[in-house]
Amino acid sequence: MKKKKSIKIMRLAAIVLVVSILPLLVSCGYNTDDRKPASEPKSNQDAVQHDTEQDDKKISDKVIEFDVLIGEHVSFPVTRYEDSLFLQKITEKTGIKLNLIAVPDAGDAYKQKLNIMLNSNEIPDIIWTSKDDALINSLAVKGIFLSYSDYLDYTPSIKKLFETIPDIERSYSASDGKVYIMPRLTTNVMSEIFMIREDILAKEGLKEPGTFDEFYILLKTLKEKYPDKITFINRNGGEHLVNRLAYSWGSGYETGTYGFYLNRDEDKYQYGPLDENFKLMVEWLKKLYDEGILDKEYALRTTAQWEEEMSKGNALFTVDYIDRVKSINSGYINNGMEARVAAMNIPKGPTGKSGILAKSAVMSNSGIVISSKISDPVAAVKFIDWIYSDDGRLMTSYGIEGETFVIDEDGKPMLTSQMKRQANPNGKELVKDYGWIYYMDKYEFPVGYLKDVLPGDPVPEDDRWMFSREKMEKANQVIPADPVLKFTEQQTSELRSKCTLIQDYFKQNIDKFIMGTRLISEYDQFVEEIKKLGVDDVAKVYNDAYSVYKGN
Amino acid sequence: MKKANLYSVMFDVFINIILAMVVVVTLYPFLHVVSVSLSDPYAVMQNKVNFYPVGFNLNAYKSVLSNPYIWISYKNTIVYTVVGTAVNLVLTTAMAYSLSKKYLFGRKFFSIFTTFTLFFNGGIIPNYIIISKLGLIDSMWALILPIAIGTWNLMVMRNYFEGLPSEIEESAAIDGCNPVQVLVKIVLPVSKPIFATMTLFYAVWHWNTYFSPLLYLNDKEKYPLQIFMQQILITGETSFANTVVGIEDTNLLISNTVKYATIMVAILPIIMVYPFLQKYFIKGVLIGSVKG
Repeated sequence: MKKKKSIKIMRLAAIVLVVSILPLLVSCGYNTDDRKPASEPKSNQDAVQHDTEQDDKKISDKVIEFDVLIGEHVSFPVTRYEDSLFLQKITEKTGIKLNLIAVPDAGDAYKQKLNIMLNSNEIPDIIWTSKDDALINSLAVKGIFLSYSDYLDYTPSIKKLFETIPDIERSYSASDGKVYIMPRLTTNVMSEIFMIREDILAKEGLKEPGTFDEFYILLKTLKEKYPDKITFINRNGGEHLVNRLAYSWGSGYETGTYGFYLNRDEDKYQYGPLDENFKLMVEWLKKLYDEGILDKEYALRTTAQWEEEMSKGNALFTVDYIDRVKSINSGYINNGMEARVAAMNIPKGPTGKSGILAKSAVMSNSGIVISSKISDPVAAVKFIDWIYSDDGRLMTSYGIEGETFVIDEDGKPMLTSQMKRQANPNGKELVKDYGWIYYMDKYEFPVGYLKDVLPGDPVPEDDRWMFSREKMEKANQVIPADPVLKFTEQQTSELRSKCTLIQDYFKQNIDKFIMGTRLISEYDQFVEEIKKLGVDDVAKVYNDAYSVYKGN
Repeated sequence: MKKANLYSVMFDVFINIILAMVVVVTLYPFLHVVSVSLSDPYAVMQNKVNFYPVGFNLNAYKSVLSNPYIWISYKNTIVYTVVGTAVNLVLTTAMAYSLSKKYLFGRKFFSIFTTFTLFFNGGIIPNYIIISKLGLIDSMWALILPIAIGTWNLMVMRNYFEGLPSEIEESAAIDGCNPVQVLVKIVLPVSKPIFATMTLFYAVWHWNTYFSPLLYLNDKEKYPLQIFMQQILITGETSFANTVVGIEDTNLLISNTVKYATIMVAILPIIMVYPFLQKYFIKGVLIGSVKG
């Protein structure tokens, strides 16, 4: 019996041993497999190097490999290196081979993976999408990432950007004053517009309003003539309405800063709902709601419902993103409807202001970060510098010169005739045929920079999107965004503890006032209530951070 | 007599009506998904699609099926499920059988040791560090080895083995079988139902797993179907939180027809297999419950 027992133990021990060793054996096998293909392309690259004309742009004669964590949008799938002419061309030009770790940028997937990598200190060479700038910066001061500020001698393009766009350093430097994140830059900052059914205005011979009083009369007339339609539709709730209207009413309400905004006349941050003009705006909205002009379900409409009503032509006015002009109108055109939407000039509020705040030109949470453990720091910063150089910008935006685009005599990039466009729907595509990587593009050129209509192409139908853009710009109604402020850890925790309370309390009450379940005469009382939640303390935090921003 | 007949007829009618309602309630969502996937995206946006497709076309399926990654991820999921389940079954059986023997040295220690993991674990980050130090990152074994034995399944299986009469095994031992032979030749043939159940449990687990591949795999070519699905289904669900930052590019939105077509492609094989597995599934669930 005893002997039997000891055999049992031996067996069990053997099983345990096998189980614990198995992963080691297996992992070794896998890793060597992985390394093999990596060494092969090198010889190919050596051969290609000889016919490159732009040897001066080369960062390294020997191919250097970097692992890059990058988000992947499902509409722009990342192609593997062997199939991507685009990535191969980058290697040919710069000597850098990028091994992309493509993580789905859908929901929280990318952020979850990045957070766990950061927390376990298993960081890839380059993180292409920073996702959480505050976290990156707090880790950076502990020495985990490379500082661009230390390598400016190697990076002429980045150095120039620091000078031309001071917000990069003002808003994105860590607490030690150095920049660790090279943000994504955009020139297309226009956000939302007042979008109206242009065809109905023309049909009824109605004029665009100059003030909000005239705007009310216009909407009322539309309501009387089209009682079955929704005169003023809205999605994303009441907070969205006040967010987009408050500037014109001489106040402000920025959702990114929980309702606080930069008062440009007094050059300080304050809480929008405390303003007298804000109350006037709420009263105006209530009037619209009472008379059925503002959609009875304005507070609850989802994007899908909003799209449904807009595409059926059931709604006459809305405030929404300018890009929606394209998709809504193309739906109307494809269905043979006469309806068209376009931008309307924003009416002037009581203080004579009118406009909607733009997006910031420096986009947060989408910058490039380099690990300090990277094998060749100089090559890495030089490569990132190339991304922001003219050559790199052209390539990451439009693909391969001579293949996918050419520069015309005005110096503007132009699609080549083989590429897919309206006149050539079966042409080649950047992503599918060239393995172009969407999120590689860190710098947007001005709108309309690329000519996508070639000589001989039919002129596209009148473009209401472009018309709307120009209209907004001409009327100076795209207001520069509030600066991106940065906070100390203590400030962040104070904001976190107080702001959500303030925002939630505001959201609960704003719809009550508009719908009339709370009387507008109680508004001053509401102001006192919300002040008790710490509005003044939060305003002080924002103003402190703002003076730091200005001081730098 | 006549009266009783009338009652039973009424009863049948009543039952049939209720069952018909249940069928409608369960079938409608499915039918809706099928219809949307076969419709014109614009009709879907206008909310015109209910029971049958409006503006019938196969474009959504064309775009889904022409994506090479759906096939790659399909293949990956099948490989992970088959290999993973095989590893699970071999290891779970071996351990459950050993633990079911009362005379096993240290039985209590090993039992407590494994039960402990039901209630406590290291958390995501230590796990990630272990996997990474073992060199398993970007390897399919990172999805298989850490869950090679499911504690709960192990206990169910151990209970089942304990319930087998020990006389059979003893007689086999007298005939000259060693313990491994007893397990393979005597115990396994009489344990088919528990195997069917375990296979199902483990296979479904591997098929559905999403978070570990997201964490541990880096190469897109190795992603399973669930990651592909998540990417297509969640993209374009813009919340106001996103739009505040100004990310709402209409080019980045994915039409519902494509989303629904992806769902169809992904669930079709399971739908076809499920009726055949169902009887085992019901049996297996009972096994766990009878013997506590």
